[in-house]
Amino acid sequence: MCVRVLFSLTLLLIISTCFGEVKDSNIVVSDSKELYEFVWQKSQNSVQVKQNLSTSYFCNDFRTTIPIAEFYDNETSIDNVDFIVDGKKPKDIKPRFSYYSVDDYFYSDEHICYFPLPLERKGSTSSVLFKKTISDPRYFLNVYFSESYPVLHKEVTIKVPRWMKVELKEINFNGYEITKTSNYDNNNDADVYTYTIKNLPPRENEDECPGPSYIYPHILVLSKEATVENVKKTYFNSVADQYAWYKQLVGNIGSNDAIVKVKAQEITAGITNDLDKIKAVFYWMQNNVRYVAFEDGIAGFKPDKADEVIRKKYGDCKGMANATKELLRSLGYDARLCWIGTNHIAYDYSTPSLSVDNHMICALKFQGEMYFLDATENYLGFDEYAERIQGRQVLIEDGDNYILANIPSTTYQQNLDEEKRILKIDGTDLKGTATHVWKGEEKEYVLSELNSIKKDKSIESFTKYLSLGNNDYVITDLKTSNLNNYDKDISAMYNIDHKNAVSSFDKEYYVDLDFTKELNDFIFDTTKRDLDFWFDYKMNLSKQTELEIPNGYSVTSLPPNVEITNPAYEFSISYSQANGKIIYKKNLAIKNIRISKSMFEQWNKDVQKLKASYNEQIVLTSK
Amino acid sequence: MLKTFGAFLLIVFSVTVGVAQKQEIKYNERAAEVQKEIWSNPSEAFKVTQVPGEMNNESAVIIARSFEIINSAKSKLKFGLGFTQRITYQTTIHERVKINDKAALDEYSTLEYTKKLDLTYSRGFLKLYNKMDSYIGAKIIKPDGTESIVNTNEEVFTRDEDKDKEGKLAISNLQVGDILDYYIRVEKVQEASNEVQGPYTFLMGGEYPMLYYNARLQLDEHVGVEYISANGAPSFKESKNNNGDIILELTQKDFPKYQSTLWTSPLRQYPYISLQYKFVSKSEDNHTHFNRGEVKHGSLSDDLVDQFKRTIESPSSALLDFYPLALTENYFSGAKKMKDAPQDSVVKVLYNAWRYNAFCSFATDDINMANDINYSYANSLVGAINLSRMLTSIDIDNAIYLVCSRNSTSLKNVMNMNDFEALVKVSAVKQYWLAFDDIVTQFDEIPARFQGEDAITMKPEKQKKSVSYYIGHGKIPVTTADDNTITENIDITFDSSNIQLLHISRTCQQTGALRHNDQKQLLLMEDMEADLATNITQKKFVERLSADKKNQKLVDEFSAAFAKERSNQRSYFFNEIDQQYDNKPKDITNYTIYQPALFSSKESFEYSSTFSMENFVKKAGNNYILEAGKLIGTYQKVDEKERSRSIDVYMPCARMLTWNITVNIPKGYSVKGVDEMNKSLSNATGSFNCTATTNGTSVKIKVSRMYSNNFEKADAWPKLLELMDAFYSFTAQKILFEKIKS
Repeated sequence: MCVRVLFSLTLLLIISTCFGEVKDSNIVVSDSKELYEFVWQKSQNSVQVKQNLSTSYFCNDFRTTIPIAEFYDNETSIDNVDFIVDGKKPKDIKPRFSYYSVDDYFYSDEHICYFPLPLERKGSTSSVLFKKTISDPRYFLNVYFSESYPVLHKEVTIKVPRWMKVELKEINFNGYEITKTSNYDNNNDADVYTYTIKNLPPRENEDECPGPSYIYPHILVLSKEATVENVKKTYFNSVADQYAWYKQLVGNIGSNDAIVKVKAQEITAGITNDLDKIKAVFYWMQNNVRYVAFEDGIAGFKPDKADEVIRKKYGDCKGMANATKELLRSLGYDARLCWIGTNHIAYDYSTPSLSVDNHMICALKFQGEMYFLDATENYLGFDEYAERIQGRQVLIEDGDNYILANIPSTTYQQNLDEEKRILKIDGTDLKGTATHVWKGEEKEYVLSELNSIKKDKSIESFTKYLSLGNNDYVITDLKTSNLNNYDKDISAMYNIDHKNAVSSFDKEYYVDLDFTKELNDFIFDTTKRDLDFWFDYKMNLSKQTELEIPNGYSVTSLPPNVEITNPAYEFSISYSQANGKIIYKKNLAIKNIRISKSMFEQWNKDVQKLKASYNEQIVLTSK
Repeated sequence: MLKTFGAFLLIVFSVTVGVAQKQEIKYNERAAEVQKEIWSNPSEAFKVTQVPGEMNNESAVIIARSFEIINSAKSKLKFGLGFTQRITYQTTIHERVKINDKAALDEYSTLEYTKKLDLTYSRGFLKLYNKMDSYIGAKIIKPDGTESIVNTNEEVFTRDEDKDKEGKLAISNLQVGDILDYYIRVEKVQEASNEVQGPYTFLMGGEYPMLYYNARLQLDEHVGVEYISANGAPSFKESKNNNGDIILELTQKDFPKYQSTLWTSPLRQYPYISLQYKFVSKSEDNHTHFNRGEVKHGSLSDDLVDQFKRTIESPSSALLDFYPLALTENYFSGAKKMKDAPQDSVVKVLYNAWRYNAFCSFATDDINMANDINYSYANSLVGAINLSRMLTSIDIDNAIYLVCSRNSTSLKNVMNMNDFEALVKVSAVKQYWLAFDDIVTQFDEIPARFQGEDAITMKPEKQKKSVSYYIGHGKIPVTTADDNTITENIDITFDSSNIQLLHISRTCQQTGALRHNDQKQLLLMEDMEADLATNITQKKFVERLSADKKNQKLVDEFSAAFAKERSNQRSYFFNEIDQQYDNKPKDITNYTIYQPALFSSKESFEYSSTFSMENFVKKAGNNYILEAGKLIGTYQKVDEKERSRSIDVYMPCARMLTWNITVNIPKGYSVKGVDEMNKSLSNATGSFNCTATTNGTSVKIKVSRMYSNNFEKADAWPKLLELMDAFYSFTAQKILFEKIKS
């Protein structure tokens, strides 16, 4: 089910990127009319959502071609495609329908209808009309207003018969020209809601930005129930309904308990401690089951059988969560399935909908505590949590009931990247030793990089990573802790010969002790960046270097200390002297991954302070 | 009636379902046969379950790999066509691989294939088969020796139509430490078509070490085979079976894995075999370079040149475009005056007219003036044919030179016409070279990738109503370091209020092969088109459009597109600086192109930019240290693993790079460390020189790096290393600006 709910919008963003400049004001959406209507299909005994989506593109400056792309899947069909180019229907344009391959997905039911739409000259208009049907209101999740191009005028109409109970939640409307009217359609006994949108900027493609549900104006559609011909169909009136729907999907998976039990016993053979057994199961899943993403209709919500995941040694998040759960349950532990939306999604279960979650994990109630196990995070230890799920609301199965809880929010301290070096000057080189420790998501990052590299290249690659690819930073005698034990921190020890790190002029040494200079050029270009910046995970960088002061030399000058503290981040640099040594300490912490646009100016000033310290050297003078 | 119709539908549905089921049963039966054939009696190499201990640190080890083609042809009577050939092709790739880490597990965990493609032509009573089916199999051998066959029914389809199926299989139960034994069999039947099969390339090595390799081809007795063994690759063992089929077989053991190395030309340096074949009918035998029933081993270039000769002697009208000649006549005010003009002038105009025609013919239905259009390349074979025919038509002595890129296969190892590229050499007062490459290639410029290469020449001779070409041999000249230069004049001042901020004024002059990248990055198509048009006395594009009132809309639109692109030029300069220094400029205050250098090799591409830069000056107490070595851009120190070398060195070209740097000393400071920068080194492969002086108000540094040749034998590597190390050591040089005590 991973990421299914915002799939189409994400795909549109990808398409926009592929086809070039989305800010291109050469093309504007001059007019768009979207009609969404709930209809009762008696023959199929179902409520469907019919969509009429018409978009007119206007050419401002010079003729060009627009790559039109519309997505569909097992729950959504494209019933008709029509297009008009400058008042005529061209015969040479043939829409093509095909499977759409998405990065990181082994297979999905996502399909694309695509064709080139010419804008024949400056001032000309070309229009596209798609008629689509969603087979079940549960899959009618939202209506986004933004397009790849600026929108001059758009009208979104949602027709809701009185037999259909729907809540339309307006999200991110502030700051946009959006008006809403509603009236009653007597003929159809329906409420008609019309949103008129004017002068909407295009979607942006910026790195490391919040997910679209945080940014763009849209309507979150919450289909609750329908009562037709005295028959009531319940969708998601409440989170209990959503849980019930999930529950009936996971209730008949039909795993073979005997096979699962044999495997669990094999994994935990010889282990007597409960916690060690639990960890053994979790690490076995991480090590032996590959994450392979599947999205195929209802199977996009229903996990594969646990014994099948164990046999295949691959699965998607649902399958991995279920296999983890069943392995633990077979050993007598209270393990449960969980549904969760990663931090890519702005919603929680207060708005029950399939757009709330995009991921499944396993919860474990153990000795009165609730732990969460996500084996798709290949290199995180037990009770360590990835940023994407930290603090997120989670729906935990509890028989016919459910539990709503939150994943623990760990602090930045979880993700330690610590380095300690002891150096001395040798000619123009700095020589010495280093020890390095990584924890949490820093550990996961290092291990995932190392494991993506061929074994015979891993030492070379690790050395390059540690030296930042600087061939003057020569690392020898590299020793590491057991890199296959994710339960522990990982560490590395090595010797350093940093060539040309010292400048010598007459009686003075000029020494640059910091060769990594993290965040040195991390300046936000406020003239270009429009969206908030989100780091992948919290940073906790701690580096310390001791430099032996050579005999006959004294310290003439040290770079300035830096001390910046605010709720989102801390930068600290200090130089001190003790026992014939200079001690350089650097601590950089990103405590909150979300750097809002309003913080950019302060951030830039703070990075400049960091930079000023980085760009200053130690001066040692001969006595 | 409804009932009847319903019954009819039911019958049709049942028949359709029946056919589909039958097809599936047939497919499954064949899949089982294929599996039995491949796995039931494997060769010894495919039974191996252990790899040598010293390979445990390899990501993966190919225990065995085989490639087999079985081809046969039968004559079939076809309605309306008489007898035609039904040709079958059965191709099997079989591999057994030990997975040693997650990187290899990731690579081998998925198979993707075309499962079915049926392009059979059917009309009336005529049916011509053209279809293929694929059969896949995979089994896993666990470290304890247990084997399990992967259920291929777990495949998914990314295309699932009756006649076109694309499949994808995630290999189940595969773990690090396992051996994966898999195959893909493709069975193809084709009627009334016998196109060339291949070329297939057999590399004598790869990404992973390989213990055993076998390639076997069993081809119909009427097939013609052509293959080459390049760079010391072995030959196939040839034989015939009882049916007269041609058998080619090659078995090799213990291929090492390839290692990537700086400055190599893999298709010139590593052994490989390239093979192609074709069913040759009797009637065809005299019209193709494939000889019916024969295996040709060795250079095919003579045959291909014959084919090319036939093409250029009787070119199709679609191939020829004499518009550049019309433009040239127009330049000289008519054919007669053109004839009277010096031939070298005519050639020059004709070549520039060809460039204008090739690169500045803009589509008018979809306007795209973005920078990427600067990167288009011409088809050099078509360009050479056209120029040669045009020159011949006006009696200017010329010859086509068929050549291969130094970065590609060599002339003796070509397999088809696509492996050739072409130049034209003209004898008109002097000798000139014409290349058909990119928009910035100048008259009489030879692209670096052809220099020093052997060539096959084709010299035209005008007959009464035709042109004949005579084949010969030649060599492409090599440019020297003086021809391929970059000279940068850099003036540095320190910001008066922030001494750690540098203001840099940089002027670059580039010649020869070293100018192309920056020309295409920085020049605007609008300007290049205008220059090319002016050069051949044409009006520039927008003016030409304006001549017809009907085009007014196009004029407006192209003007808007050009204006939009011009507004992007600043970012191209910004990116050029960023790439040069691996450091983004803080600001750009000025950028100018002085000389676009589109026409003559005597012209340098010359541009300048003025910008400010941080990170190059470090504060040190009251003093400042300038990282002077960074002013010439980034330069990577040679990796330790690259320091020993046994294969020859293919560099892009001989070249000379010079930097003249003036650093203005800020008031109140004196300098130290200037003298230490002086260094001079020269050997057979090139030179490095640095002279640095100061007069108290400024520091002058002149740095130059020269590589004498575009190619060095492996023995010369230590000398090249000596130069590269010297140059790298300069990049670490620093100058101290010491506060003068008052």
